[in-house]
Amino acid sequence: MGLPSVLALACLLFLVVFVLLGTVLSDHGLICGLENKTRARNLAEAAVKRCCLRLRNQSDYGLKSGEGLTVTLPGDPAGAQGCVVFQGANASLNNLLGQAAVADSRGWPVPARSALLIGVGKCRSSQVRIEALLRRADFPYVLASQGPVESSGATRIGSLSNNTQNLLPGDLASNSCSDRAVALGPESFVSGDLRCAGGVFLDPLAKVNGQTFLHASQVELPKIDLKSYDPFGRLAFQDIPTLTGNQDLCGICRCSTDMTVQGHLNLQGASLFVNGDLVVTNGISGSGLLVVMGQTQVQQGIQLETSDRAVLLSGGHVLLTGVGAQASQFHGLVYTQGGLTAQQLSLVGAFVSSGSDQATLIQDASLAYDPQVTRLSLPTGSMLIPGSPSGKNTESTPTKFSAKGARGAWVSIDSFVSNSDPSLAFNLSDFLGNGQPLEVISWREDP
Amino acid sequence: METVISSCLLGLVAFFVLSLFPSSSLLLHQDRFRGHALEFAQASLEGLDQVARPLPPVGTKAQPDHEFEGVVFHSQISLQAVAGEAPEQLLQASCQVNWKDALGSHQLELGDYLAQH
Repeated sequence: MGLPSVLALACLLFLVVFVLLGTVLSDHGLICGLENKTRARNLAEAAVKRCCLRLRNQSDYGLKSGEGLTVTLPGDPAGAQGCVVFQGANASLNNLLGQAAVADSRGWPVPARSALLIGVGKCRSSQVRIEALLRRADFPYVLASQGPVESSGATRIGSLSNNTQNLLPGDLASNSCSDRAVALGPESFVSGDLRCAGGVFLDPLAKVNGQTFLHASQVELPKIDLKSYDPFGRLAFQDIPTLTGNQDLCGICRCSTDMTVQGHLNLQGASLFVNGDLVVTNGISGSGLLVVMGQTQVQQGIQLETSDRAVLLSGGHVLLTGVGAQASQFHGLVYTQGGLTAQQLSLVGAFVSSGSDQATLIQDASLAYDPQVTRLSLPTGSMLIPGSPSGKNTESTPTKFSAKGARGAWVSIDSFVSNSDPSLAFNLSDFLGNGQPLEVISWREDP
Repeated sequence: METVISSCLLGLVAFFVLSLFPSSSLLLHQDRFRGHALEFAQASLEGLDQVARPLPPVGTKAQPDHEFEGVVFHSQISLQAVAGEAPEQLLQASCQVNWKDALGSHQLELGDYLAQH
């Protein structure tokens, strides 16, 4: 073999060696890059999770200068860290207590009652940035009571399913510390969890599909100042007589004392404030806000369109009666500072008995959770915004932004903002304290 | 003279090729194993995050051994409290993966936080 042939062969073999070396180094670099990026992402996520927890326990976290946090994780190389800061580049913005949207450092709007967290994770040459938009989660219980809960007859508690007639899991909570904080009768069925601060009496034929938490910590119930909804002296309203027949209401209405509707009450996007007790003998339909300072009694709750929903806030006992779960239905949110009694009807929404130790009695009724009822939109002229009697509203403007996406759904920030609802008149989340979990509305990772 | 130069050159090249091929192959395999361990650790941590409600107690839990391309991987998950945070709300999770190949014993540890949903 001559020298030229040997040189050619040597060149060929060197080429093979270089290709092999290049492949090995490229593969090694790829794995190292992937590992660094994974570590950086975990660091960014960890920083956001920890900051989310801080915000949950302390709504004003991040509003003072210098606040922020840094995290490190086991196994990471020296210098790798994740951080969330509220000042400077990549600054997060806490607008959980805000009543209007606020622009972040890039000029992007962060909706009212939301927080934008930007977590940055660094590991060697890799950097990952995570943006999470959070808001307070919807009230999570179908039925929550400060006092004991007792069911009898064919009572079913669950959550609405769009596709089937079957109940999805829905949770029940009682803050009563008695031995019979929750007593479920023979045909009672709870499709979700049962949580109570005291004990439980379960009939052998009653069924709880989820977990049962006995002697658990009390759940936080919303506190609503009903008097602040009185439009007297601060908003224009229609004066409603104390005794009427069938009523179709629109706009803002007020009854100065006890009110009895001998017939049916139809709310056409109306707000009604009753400065006493309310009795309706033939059911309520339509969409609207009812604020009753005394007791509320609604008989013959009737079949409603699914789009109808009412928010009923009552200072005293609420009695809802029907003629059977199939024929009688109430769709909406019921909040009472007294007890709650529901008989022979189907209730769709959320039910809160707060501020007293009175019992909640459910008899032959079906309760299905619908988180949509915790928010109510009304026409501008019907919006009864809470305020003080002096005329100064506690909220000068209605909520500017509110997401309508499914609970827990992750949507983009843009669609979250475009779903804003300036006509939002009531949002139960506004009355929940710091203990309410935060839910992620949007999650985005760069690059 | 030409024959000597040719022989030396061929010998040198043959030495490079013969020594580089096995080590390259080993390095490639080692990267594959490390990549697998990384993917496995990340999947373990993500799986833990999805099913944890409420958060599990702190401690160390060994996972079943598994095999990938003839190499056995041992792994364990450690959960510990984060200083200043309630353990029922936030935990530090780490997945440690150990394996042994032709180049010796290796270890990879990946961490994350586990938060209450």
